[in-house]
Amino acid sequence: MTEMTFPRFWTLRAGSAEFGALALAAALLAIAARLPAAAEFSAACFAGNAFWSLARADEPRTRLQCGLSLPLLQILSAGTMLVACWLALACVVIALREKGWLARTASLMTLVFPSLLLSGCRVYLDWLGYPWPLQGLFL
Amino acid sequence: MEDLLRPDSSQDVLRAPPAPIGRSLVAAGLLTEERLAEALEIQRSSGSPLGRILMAQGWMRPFDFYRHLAAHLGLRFVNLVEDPPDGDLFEQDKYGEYATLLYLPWKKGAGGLVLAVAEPDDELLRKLRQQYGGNVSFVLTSRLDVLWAVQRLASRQLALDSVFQRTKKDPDHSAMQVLTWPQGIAFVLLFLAAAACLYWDASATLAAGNAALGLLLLGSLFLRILLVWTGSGTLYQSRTTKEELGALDPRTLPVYTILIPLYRDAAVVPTLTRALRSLDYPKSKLDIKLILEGDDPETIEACKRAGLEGSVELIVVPPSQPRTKPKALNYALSFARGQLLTIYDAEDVPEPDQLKRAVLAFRKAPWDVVCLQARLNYFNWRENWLTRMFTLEYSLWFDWYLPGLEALGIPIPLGGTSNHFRTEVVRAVGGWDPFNVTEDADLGIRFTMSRWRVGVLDSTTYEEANSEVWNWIRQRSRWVKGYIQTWLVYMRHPLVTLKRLGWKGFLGLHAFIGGAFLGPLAFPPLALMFLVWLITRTEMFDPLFSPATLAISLALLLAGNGLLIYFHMLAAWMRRRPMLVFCSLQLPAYYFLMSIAAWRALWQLAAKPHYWEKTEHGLTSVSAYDRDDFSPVLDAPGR
Repeated sequence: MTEMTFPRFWTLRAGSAEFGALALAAALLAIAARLPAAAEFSAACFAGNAFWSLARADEPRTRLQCGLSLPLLQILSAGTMLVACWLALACVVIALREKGWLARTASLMTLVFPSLLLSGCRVYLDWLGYPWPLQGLFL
Repeated sequence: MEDLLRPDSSQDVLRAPPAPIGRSLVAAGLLTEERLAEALEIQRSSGSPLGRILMAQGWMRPFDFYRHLAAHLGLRFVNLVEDPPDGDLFEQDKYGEYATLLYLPWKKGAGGLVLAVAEPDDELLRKLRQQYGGNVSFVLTSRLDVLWAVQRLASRQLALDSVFQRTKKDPDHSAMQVLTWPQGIAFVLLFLAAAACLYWDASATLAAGNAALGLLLLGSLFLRILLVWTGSGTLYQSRTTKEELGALDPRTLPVYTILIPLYRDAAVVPTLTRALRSLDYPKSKLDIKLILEGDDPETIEACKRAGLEGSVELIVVPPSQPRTKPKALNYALSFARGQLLTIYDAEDVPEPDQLKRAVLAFRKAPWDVVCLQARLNYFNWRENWLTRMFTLEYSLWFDWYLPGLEALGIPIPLGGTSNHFRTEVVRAVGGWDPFNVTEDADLGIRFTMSRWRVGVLDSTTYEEANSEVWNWIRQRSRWVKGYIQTWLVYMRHPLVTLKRLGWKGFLGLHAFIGGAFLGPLAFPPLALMFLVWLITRTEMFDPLFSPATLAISLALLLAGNGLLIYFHMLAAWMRRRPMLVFCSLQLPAYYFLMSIAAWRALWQLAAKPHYWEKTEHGLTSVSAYDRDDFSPVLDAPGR
């Protein structure tokens, strides 16, 4: 007796963490391939996924993803920079959920530190008189 | 039915005693009815022998119990201290069997061989009858008497085996020799080549060296980024849930051996006692060994005074070289009776359910997972700047890096405490390397080399962070020295290591173990160069930096250090210690201390390679049980 088989279809089964990783990989590949629109879209997906997940549960990967998404958006284009600004506001809202000002400030710090670091690096290189290596990216 | 206790008997099982031992103890006035009822209840739930329960709970003195048991079984009771065994009958190569099965040959007379047994059950007696022939009789002694006699009669063999057994088993991977001849020749050739290149073109050579160093450090940084990304995804994947813990049947729990090496640790014995009493595991299934040094009477006295005699055994290691913790562990390994084994340091406070979590995790893990490393953290993190930095470092290392290493299949260098093993596998690999001062890191890599796996356990052990700078430097020097030893050991045959670890494991070993000492060693000259340049804007260093090297160096300086600070912030936040998030900004000052320790380690490796610098414990003013200083455990969902 021959076993009956059915055609298989790909199903999208990636969980939130996998989706974030895929979006980040796509964004980095698009940057390397000089595809601005694809990079912006992937980066926005990465950031959206991160903040959506963080709003639901404070997990290590989610917080890390949020922290990394801001500088990623900062370096891409004016449009994504705007998204980054809005998300920075979201960081404040998320931080305000904590109890006590120490915890709130600490929470904010874990979300915006990479962004501050990026800005600090740029200022430092400007001060040294070196060109900003990400200058020619898309901005 | 055969009475296996008596010679030439044809019966099959132990002679049926006139009444159960519990009733007999009550009748003799050694136990109250209430205690017996309580003990029987524990027996029903744990499945342990009644005698072990009574002694482990501290309801009966071992000596009273064994003497009564002997009378109950109609046997003679012998006190091996007063009436010691005949040393000629003691077979030196069998001390491990004597210590784990709790028997030994006592005397030989006209009636044949007499064996002293502490826990006579049918299985053991049948085995002994097969081994020694039918003409053998038995006397009863206590468990502690057997252990004492074995330690006394086999002390020389035990001492030799604890030092050389591992080296005999795998001489190629023993740190007894710091550098092998080929390694020595390779280093000399490298040094000569560097000297020749410097003579030929100093500027180009230094530039090449600088570039190579930059690339190595960049590789180490990339690995750490990858580890944090991967580790963050698995951090909350709890292997054991509250429901599973609740559903655990205590009768199925294995005997668990806990090895606790102590040396000049009298001050922390009360903390240790409390931690051991807090463990949520049937006491009758705990096989706790306090490993003491023969020349440390203060700690021995403190342990005797702690009132743990019913559930704890004291193993006294005679003083001999090398004076290391792994040697003490090897010594005690011969006495381990548990299927699972863990190591705690004297000042450790493990989460009470850690052993149960380990049992569950082992049951759920694939067969080749032979070791689980619990997370380590500090209870006195608030104490001073040093303890805060140390806590930050541990939070990142154990909560993020190790799960990352596990997920990526890179060898995990074990921490010195709270590693849970399958005992048979530790024995199979010959125990710990007594010449390696980070024997734990070495063992983790050796497991991977032997195609076994190491996992991470979702339970935390709280330790005392070093709160004094000099004490910290001494401890860190030993760790760095051990990492260099370990790296050198596995680089003796790099191709064999590559074949056994695979390329991922091999690169991981270099980046994680190599990076752990290369980074701190490189930090002072690089930091100095940077500071001189920043202040003077000299052009002296320009030849050392090609455009590519400059880009790498700047990336390391800015992005590298910045990201490492950020990862520490995240680690602190996930431990719910917001104050430490801000302390992460001070980490560069901590790196400076690490560099001092690393350079000291390098010097020590040449001068005193096997010297174990003792870390002083009990210096903190913070109590391990001050709940304010406990952070909530990583509150993973379901945990």
